[in-house]
Amino acid sequence: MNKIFFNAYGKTNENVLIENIPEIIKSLLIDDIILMKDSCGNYLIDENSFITAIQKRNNWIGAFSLEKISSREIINLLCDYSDSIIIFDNTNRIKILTLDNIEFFTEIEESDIMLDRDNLLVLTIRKENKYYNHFTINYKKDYYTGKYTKSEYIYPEKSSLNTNENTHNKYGSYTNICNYSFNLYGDKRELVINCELVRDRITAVNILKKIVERKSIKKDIVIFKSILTNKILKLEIGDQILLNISDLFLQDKFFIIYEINYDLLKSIAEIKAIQINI
Amino acid sequence: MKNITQNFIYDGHFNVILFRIDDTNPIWISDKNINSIIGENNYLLFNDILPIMMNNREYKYLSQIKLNIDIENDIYFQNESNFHLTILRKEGLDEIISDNLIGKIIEIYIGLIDENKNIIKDELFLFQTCHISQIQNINYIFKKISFSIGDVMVNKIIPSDMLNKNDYINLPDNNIGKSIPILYGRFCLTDELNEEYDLAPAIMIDEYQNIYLGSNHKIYNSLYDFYLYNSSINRYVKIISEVEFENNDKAKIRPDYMMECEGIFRLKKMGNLTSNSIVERYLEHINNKTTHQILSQESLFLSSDEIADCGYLDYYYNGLEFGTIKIIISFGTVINGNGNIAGKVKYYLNGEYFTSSNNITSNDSNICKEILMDIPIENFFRQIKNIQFGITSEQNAIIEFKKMCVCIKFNRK
Repeated sequence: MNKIFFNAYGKTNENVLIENIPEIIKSLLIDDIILMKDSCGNYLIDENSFITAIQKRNNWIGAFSLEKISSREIINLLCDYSDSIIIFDNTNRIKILTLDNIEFFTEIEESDIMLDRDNLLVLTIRKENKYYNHFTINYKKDYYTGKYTKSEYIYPEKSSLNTNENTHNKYGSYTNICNYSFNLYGDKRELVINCELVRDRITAVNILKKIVERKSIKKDIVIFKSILTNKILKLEIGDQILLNISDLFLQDKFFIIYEINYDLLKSIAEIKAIQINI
Repeated sequence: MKNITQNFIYDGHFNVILFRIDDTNPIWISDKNINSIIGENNYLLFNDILPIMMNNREYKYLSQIKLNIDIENDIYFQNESNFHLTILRKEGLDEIISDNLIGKIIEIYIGLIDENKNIIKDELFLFQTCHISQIQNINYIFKKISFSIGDVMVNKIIPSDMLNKNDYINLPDNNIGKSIPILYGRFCLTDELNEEYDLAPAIMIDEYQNIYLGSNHKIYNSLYDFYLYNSSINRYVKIISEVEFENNDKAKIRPDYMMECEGIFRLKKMGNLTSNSIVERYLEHINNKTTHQILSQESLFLSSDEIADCGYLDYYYNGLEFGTIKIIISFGTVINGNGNIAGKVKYYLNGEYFTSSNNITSNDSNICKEILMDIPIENFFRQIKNIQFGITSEQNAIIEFKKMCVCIKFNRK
C-alpha cells in the first residue's frame, strides 16, 4: 500500500500557526485532552504562567505529527524539550513553569528549618546520581523511514568522539561545561536525544544547550522539614528557593522544589528540592 | 507560589481544618466545633464525624499529602497523588456521603475560628483542591473518602478519534482503530533542488478509490503538495494527478487509479570544470541551501576541450513502470561551436549511450530549458536498470551551465 505525504501546517489559533512549544502544550491540553472547566466556564489553566513560558521560549518551535500517544508522554517530552514543568496549583489549575525562572525565588533561612532532638537542622544534602558529558540531538524525523535526518552535538574537546577539529568547540561555554564534567568525573557518559517533535536547527540547538546545563553536572538535592508557617504554606512544587545556611556551600545555588510531603495534623512539611543552576 | 488570602491570619498553628465537598448543597466537614460558615449558602455542616480522639489517643483522620514531580528521573509532569480522609459513620450519613460524590471536587481549607465559633469562608486558606476517587465503608465505624490530584485528570490517549468501517466503508483493515494524525507546526518542501523534503503523513481511508485523509488541521491548498515515497529510489516523488479538497479542515487526496508522479533529482556531481574553486562552491550550494545567492551569481563553464566523455553526472533511477524523462537545465551564456550547435544532452542507458535530438544552441542562453528525452516511452521503465545523464559540447562551443535537474514522470498504482 502506498503511503502519502504532504506539505502541511498544523493547528492555528485565530489564523496564527501554533508552533511555540509551551503554546502547543496549552493547545493539546485544551483541544485534544479537553481539559475541565471551572464553574465560570474557564479552562483550569493558569493563563499567566503560559503567557510567561511562551515569552521565555519565544523561538522554540515544535513541528510533528501525532498518532496514538498518551497525553502524559507527549506533554512530558514537550516539557523536557522546553526546559519546563507542569504542575497543578492548589486550586487545581494547570501551571507551566520554566526551570530557568530564577528571578522569583524564596529565601529559606536556618530559622525556617526544624531542629531535631540534638538541636541540629533537619536537613539532608546529597548529590544527584546521573550525569552526561557527550550530548547528541537527532531531529527532523522523516515520517516514512522513521529516521532522523539532522543532528547536532556538544562534546568535550578532549574526547575520542571528536573527530572533527573544526566543529568540536562551536558551542563555546557549553563545550566548556562538557569539558568540566569530563574532567571532574573522568569518564565518558553519552546521552542521545531522539527529538521527534522538532524540525528546525535553532530549536534543536536551544534544547541541546538546556539539556547540557541540566544534565552535565551532578546537582545537589536538599531535603528539609519545616513547621507550616505562612512562608512555608505558600510554597508549592516548582517554586525556586535559595538556602541561606552558613557553612554548607549552598549560598549560590538555586533549587527547585520537586516534592512536598504535608502532615497537616502535625503542621509539618518535608520539602525536597533539586539544584537548577550550575 | 500559592496565593494566600490577604485576610488569612496564621500564627503557625492553625486551629481548624475543614473539608468542603462541592455538591448541590455543599458539604462541610470540620475537625472543630463551629456554628456557621459565613459566605456559604445552603450547606450541610458536620462537626462531629472526624475521629480525633478515640480511646484516649489521638486519631490520624487525614493521611499525609505528598505532592511531587520526579525531575530527578526526567519526569516533568506532576505525578498523581492520592490521599484519604477517615470519617465516622452515623445514621443518615451513608445517603449523603456515598458513591454519588465520586468525581466531585473536595477542597481542604485551614484557618482560624473566631470567638463566636464562626468561620468566614473568604478568610480561609485553600490548601488544596482534589477530586474524590473512592468512597468506602471500612467497617461499621469508619468510612474512607479517597481523593487525588495530578495527571489522572489529563492522562488520555490522543488523538481520541478512531477510524472505523462505519465512517469509512472501504477503510483498509490495518487502519482500523488508527487516528487521523494531529499535526503541529510547519511541514513544507521549500526547495526541490535541495532535496529538503519535509512532509507530513496522511492516512488511507479508502483502499479501492485511493482516498487519503490528511490531518485534522490545514494543508497547503495546492494540487502539487502531495508526495509518494518511492522505496526503490529512496526518494519522495510528487503526485501530479488530481487532488481533491474536502473542506478547509480536511484534505482528501484522491488520485486517479493510475497515480501520476514526478520525481526530481538534483545534480550531485560535476565532472571536468574550468575551476576547482567553482566546483567546491557549487558543491557547497548543494549541501547547504543557505548559499543560494552565491550560486545565482556563479556560473559553471563547460567547454568542448574539457569534456572527455559523457556520463559524468551520476543520476540513476531504477524504474519498473511507464513514464517519460525530462531534463531541466538552467543556462547562462551559450555560444555555438561546430555545426552551429553548442552541445547535446546524452544519456547512458543500460550500458549504451544515446543522444537526445534536442540540441543546445545559443538560443538557449540565459533560459531554463526543458528537454524531453526522445526515448522509447513504452516499456522504457521496464527495460531500464540504470540511467546516467550528461552533456557534451561541440568543438569551439562554450556552455555556461548553472543548474540541472532531471524529472522522471511515471504512472504508478
